[in-house]
Amino acid sequence: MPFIRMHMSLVAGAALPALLVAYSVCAAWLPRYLVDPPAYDALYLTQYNESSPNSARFQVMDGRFSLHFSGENFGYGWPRLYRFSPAAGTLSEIPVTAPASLPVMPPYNRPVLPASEEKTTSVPIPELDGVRVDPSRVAPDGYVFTPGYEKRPSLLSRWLVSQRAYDLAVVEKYGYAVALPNPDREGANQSLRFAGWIVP
Amino acid sequence: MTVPSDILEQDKRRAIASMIEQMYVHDITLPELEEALKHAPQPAAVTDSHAAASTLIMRLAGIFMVTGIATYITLFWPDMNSMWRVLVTLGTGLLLHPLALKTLGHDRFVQASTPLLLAGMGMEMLGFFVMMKEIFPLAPDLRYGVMGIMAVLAVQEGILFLRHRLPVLLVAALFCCYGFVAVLLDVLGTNEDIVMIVLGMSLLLVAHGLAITRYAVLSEIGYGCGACALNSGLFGLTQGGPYEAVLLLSAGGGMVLGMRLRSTVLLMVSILTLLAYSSYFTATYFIHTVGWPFALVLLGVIYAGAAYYALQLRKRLKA
Repeated sequence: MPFIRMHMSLVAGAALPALLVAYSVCAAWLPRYLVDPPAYDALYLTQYNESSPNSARFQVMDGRFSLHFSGENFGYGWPRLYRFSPAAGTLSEIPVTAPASLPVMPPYNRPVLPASEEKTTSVPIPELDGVRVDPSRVAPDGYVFTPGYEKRPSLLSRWLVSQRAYDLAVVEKYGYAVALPNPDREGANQSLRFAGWIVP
Repeated sequence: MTVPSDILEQDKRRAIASMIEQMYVHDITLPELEEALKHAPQPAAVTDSHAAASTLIMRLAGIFMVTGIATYITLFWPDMNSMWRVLVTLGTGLLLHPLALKTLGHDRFVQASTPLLLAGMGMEMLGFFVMMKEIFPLAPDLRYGVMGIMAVLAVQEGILFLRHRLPVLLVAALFCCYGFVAVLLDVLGTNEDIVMIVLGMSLLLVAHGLAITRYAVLSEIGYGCGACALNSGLFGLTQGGPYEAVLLLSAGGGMVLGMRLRSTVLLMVSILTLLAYSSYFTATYFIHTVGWPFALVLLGVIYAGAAYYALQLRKRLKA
């Protein structure tokens, strides 16, 4: 006790970060036990690049997810579609296959057309027939989709850790966050594109 | 290389001749000289020109060796494989650190121990980071690795400090501890500005605590780093909001505290914070008005007044 009384500043200096760590641990762990897990599955795409020509673009209208391919199929521009169930923690890939009317052609056979006359082909996805999709970022149970690039890495992390740690998209509610798995994080167009929540 | 004995003998004879001449000039007798020799203080250390030259050459050799390693690493880094990269960084660190510890017991190397310890610790830490990056190049989150490295080094430096009680080892241990806590809080998702504020306050308290110990020499570093972290965190948290002026209160408080604790560094950091914030504030809100140059002139007058007041206060405190 005399040591503590004599070195009160040192003790307070050590206690301050310890208290902040304790508070942060509570803030990070308590919501796991207090907040209900997400109830709705998330639908999202990876390797999605709608700005480039000859690529697929998705649309959610009247609760229906549809995919259209704009231009010719040169074998690239195809995204990967995933359905993630946060409650079960399972990720399943929904196959996206080119229709018979859009065969792969070598780039040198490309017809010269203005962008306005590029053909658009509908890509059927049988697994999503009859599935209702809510495109808003906020799910009916209150969970919010947050893309990774919205997070700001701290000064120390910017020095010590690569930016990849912050490209992690999550769904969160009251501090409880569930990361959306992205198997294509290391490739080009690694960011994840959220399509919506699968609702009954 | 040894000096021939006949040259040393010549030097000695010349010195004796000179002393005899001085004795005649000042009328000094032999008993007087004996008496003076009895009461004359012993020289602390006999330093001859050969020893000085040897020390200089040793230092130059050290500088050349460190520069050589650094240049080699810089030039050939892209051509090295993973193992070689780890070897030149961590290997150098693991070689320098024990060497520095070995010098602690010898009075001859007392000046070399601190730079060697710093270089050894720096290279060891760098080596661990390189090893982590080379072994796990695609790891999604390296922060856990950084935390592990910081924890291991904090324990290592802490144990070394408890054994040798050197200020440089205390600085190293504190640096690793604060690094560990900062990365841990980042992993837990705590706001960066709040982390800076709390760690800054903690550093100020630790520096104040150290001021009454035998490591008082470190308190100025602590005050400087603590005030910088606290003020930058406060600025980040309040920037652009209604509570932005809190930074002025913090800087003012730092100035008062700096004068009370007689800390030049704390006073300087607080004044620089005040100056930086004033510049930022006027540049943000008054840059397109004629008032901005006038505001700058006014600020100059205020700072000149503050400097004059500080001088008067210093004179009064000295008196």
